[in-house]
Formats: sequence, structure tokens, C-alpha cells
Amino acid sequence: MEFAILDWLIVVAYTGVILAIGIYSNRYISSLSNYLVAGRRVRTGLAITTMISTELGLVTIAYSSQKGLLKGFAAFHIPLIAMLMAMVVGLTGFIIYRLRRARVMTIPEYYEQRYGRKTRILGGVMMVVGGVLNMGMFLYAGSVFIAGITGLYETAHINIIMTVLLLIVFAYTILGGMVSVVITDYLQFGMLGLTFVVVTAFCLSDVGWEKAVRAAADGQVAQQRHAYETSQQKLLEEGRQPEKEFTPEPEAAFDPFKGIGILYMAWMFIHFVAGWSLWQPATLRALMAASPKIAKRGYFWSSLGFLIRFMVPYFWGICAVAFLMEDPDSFAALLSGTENEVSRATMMATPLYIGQLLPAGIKGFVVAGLLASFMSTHDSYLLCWSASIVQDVVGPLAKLYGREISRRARLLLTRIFIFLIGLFLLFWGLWFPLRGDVWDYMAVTGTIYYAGAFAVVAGGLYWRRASSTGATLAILAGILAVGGILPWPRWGVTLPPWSTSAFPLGAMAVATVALVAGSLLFPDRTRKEAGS
Amino acid sequence: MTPEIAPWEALWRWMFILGCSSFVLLLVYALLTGARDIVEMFKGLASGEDEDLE
Repeated sequence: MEFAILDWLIVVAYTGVILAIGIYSNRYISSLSNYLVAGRRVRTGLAITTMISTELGLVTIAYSSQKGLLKGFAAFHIPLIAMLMAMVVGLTGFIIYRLRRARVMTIPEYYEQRYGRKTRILGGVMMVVGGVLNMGMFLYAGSVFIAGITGLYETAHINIIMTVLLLIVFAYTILGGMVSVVITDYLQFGMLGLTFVVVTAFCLSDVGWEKAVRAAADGQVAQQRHAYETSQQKLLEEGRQPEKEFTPEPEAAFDPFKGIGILYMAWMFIHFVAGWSLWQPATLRALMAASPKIAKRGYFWSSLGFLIRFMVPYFWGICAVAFLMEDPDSFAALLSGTENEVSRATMMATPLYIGQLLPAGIKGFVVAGLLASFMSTHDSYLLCWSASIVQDVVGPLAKLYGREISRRARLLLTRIFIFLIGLFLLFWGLWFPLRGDVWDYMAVTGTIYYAGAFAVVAGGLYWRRASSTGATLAILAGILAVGGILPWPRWGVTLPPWSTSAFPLGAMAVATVALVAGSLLFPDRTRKEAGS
Repeated sequence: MTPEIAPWEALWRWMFILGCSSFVLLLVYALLTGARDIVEMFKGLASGEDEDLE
């Protein structure tokens, strides 16, 4: 179905309202804490809406629908682990309670309290590198999804739409800071929540649960057959005999141990423990809560959103498989080509399916909801990383050289960095050669930061002997996770599929060992209290 | 459906049903209380103070 004028009107009206509210919020920016943590005045209801809106972006929908399409119901273990880990963090207050009590505005600020200024600068650099790289795919994945659902396949059209949206986000984030982010997040939460309900209702009425179950099994077997035929072809080309008969395993679409593997599941477990407690855009919601108790409560209830943000788009992806399996050749075509082409095709399939499913008017409403999720994530992430550059790198560096940056200058610098990071996103999204699925890219880039951060913050809060040398070594160990996204095939290196999990898991293990060994071998002369 | 698939399918089906229905309730709750929280936040920001609740 075409994207009609009515659909466009809905989209333009919605983005106009968001822009106006964001600009209005500028009048409340009277201090740096108002700009960065909304004056620490966010209560439970607002904490939930801003937390879920931030972590439920268009990129989340894009990579989750791709994961559901490729892995079927077996991928459902990811939202289950995500929800349980957020509940644990919310119930126990693990890390977030003490961080909020320390009244810091960023996590590296805690590094300085506990380990010293140099650790803060290094930690700030690593956090921003991991965070900005993590954002690198937001624009690309969002563009592909919007292209699929609207039927605007011309790359130039999509780039123009995304650039305009990014400019709108710039305008209200640069002007209104966290106050406008929190309010627009609230509206966007309502919009994308309704979008989830509407699209899921259409998918259920079109495909239904039973057909989705069959499609997931058929899709998994089709992928296994494709992988088998490719490997046999390779053996024949090398002059070797085919190894064995093809044995379909439909249960791999349901059983995560068979479909995905225990190493990957272990990675997800550790990823979410560290991610929910230390991923700066999420942790910032705890740091701006009106009290440590509200921070915990916000996390606990948001855990339901963390389940939904993965599970529902997975289901849309499985419904897309049901649609594609009506013509098995079209599903097989998705799997043919280079890794980059397969990645794009598998991400495009679900929005194409949704696009032909929804009638005019509803489609405009859904696209407005998707754009809401695009903006609500971008605004928070842009503000978060730019604030970290200023607060944790530029400011402390200036202090090291005996200079002080005024609050007014910090506000200006934060706004400049919001713009610069946005420019980076435009370029990175266009040229980075993505291999594999987008979720794995996101999880690996996140690990660059939190592999070290988890050891450093947990060690700092709960272990009195953690030292600044141990912290420095642990932060640097996060670099090992980069191996998970390097273009190895381009360099002629073939790695096994489990290597994607092994790099981040290895980085986290090395970081933990580095903190312990570094702290025991090189203790600080003046030891600070755990949890100080 | 094979015996290997059945328990997993049941787990995911109930997770989907319970997750989606709870999310709808959370959506309504967060939107209602969030509106009140926005008013409170603006009042606090207008007062110009930056204090914890506890």
C-alpha cells in the first residue's frame, strides 16, 4: 500500500508538536543540573516513560525484527533475560542505588570520586567511544526500516528524511536539554506504545500464533538448508567429498540452546547485568530520579518495557517469515549475497511486510510512532554522550592544566558536541560495512565501555581494595571487545560464529582479572572507602 | 509439533500473552502518573531549587 497524503499529514503534525514542546522547555534551563539531569526532579511515572522511550528506539525495532526473522522464537530468551536482569537491578538497587546516592551526573564522575581524575578522563574517553560507535547504526537501521514501511526505496529520499529528523532532534535537545528530552519522551512513550499495540494486533489477525509457530520452524529449516548447501558447494569447489546428509532441526527455532548456543546466552546474561546498571543513557534515568528509591522503582517497572522492546518486534519478524514463506524462493533470496547485503535484506523484510499490511491513515500513525521512537532515543543518547565529553573529558583535562571551564561554557560545549556527534552519525551510518546482525554490533560496541566500567564501578562500590591502577587496566581491557565487529573476512580471516560472543565475554573476563590483579599488585597509597 | 518443541513453544506463548497484557496496563499507568509528574517537575524547576526528595 502507498504512503498516502493523510499519512504524511499525521507524520508532519506529530513531529511539529514534538518540536514546539521541546523549544518551549528551553525557558526552564537555568542551571547545568537542569540541563543534564532535569534538576533531579523525575518521579516514578516519568522515570518509567523516559527509561522505556530511551531504550526503545527505531533501531531497537529494526534489529529486533531482524533477530526474530533469523532466529525465530529461540531469540525470545533475550527479552526474558533482559527483563529479569532489570528486575534484579530494580529490586536490589545493584550499583544504581549507590551511584544515585553519590549525586553524580555521569558514571566517570564516580571514577573521579573513587579513583582520581586521570581515571575519570580515561573512563570518559572509553565510554564516549563505545557509546558513539554504538549509536553509529541508529541512523542506518532506522532509514532501512522507514524505507521498507513507506515504500520510499530511493536512498536519497531516506537520507533527506533522516537528516530532517536529526535536525529536529538537534533543535529541541540543544535548546531544552534533559527537560525537553523527558517531556518529549513522555509523549513518544504514548505514541510508540500505541504503535506496538496496533501493529501487533494487525500481525496477529493476519498471521496468528499457530501459523507464526509453523513459519518460525520452516524459516529456520530453510536457513539450515541454505547453510548446508553453501558448505557443500564450498567442499565441491575444493575438490573434497560432501560430508553428510542434510538433517533439518526445526526445534532450533524454539530452543535457544540449540538455535543460538549457550555461549551467546551467557553473553546476554552478563550483557544485561552490566548494561542495565551501567549503560549511561539508562543509568542517567536513575541519576536524575528524585531519590535513590525512585531510581530503583523506575528500573523495576521499566523491566516490562525491556521485555516488550525486544519480544514484540521479534514476533513481527516471525510474522514476516510467515508472509515470505508463502513464496519460499523469496525467503531464500534474502539469504543470498554478501554479508552486508544479507544484513540489509533481512532488516528490510519486516517493514516491507508491515507496510503492505497496514491501511492508509493507520500507516501514518504507525510511522509517526516509529519516528517518535527514533527521536526519543537520539535525543537522550546525543545529550548523554555530549555531556560526558564535556563533563568527563574536556572539563577534567582543563583542570589538570590548571584551568576551569565556566558553567556557561560547559552548556555551550555540550550543545556543540551534540551537533558534532550528529554529523558523525550521518557519515558513519553511510559507510560502515555491517556484517552479521545489528543487535550483535550494538551489544559488542556497548561492551567496549561497560566491560571495564562494570569491573571498575562494582569494584569501587563493593570492594575496598580496588585501586586506580587496577581501574585503569580494567578500562583499557574493554578495547578487546572491538574484535567482535572488526571486518575479519575482508582481511581474509574466517572466524567461527561463536567468536562474536567470545570477544565481549573475553573482554569482560580480562577486565575483571585486570582490576583484581592491578589492585592487589599496585594498591593506592590513600585508600578510599567502598561506596564513597 | 514435536515433543522437543512443545515446552519451549508453551513458554514463549505465555511470556508473549502475559508480557503484552502487562505492558498495556503499564502504558496506561505510566501515562497517567507521568502527566502528574511533569506538572510537579515544572513546579520544581520554576522554584529554582535542586534538592533530593530525601
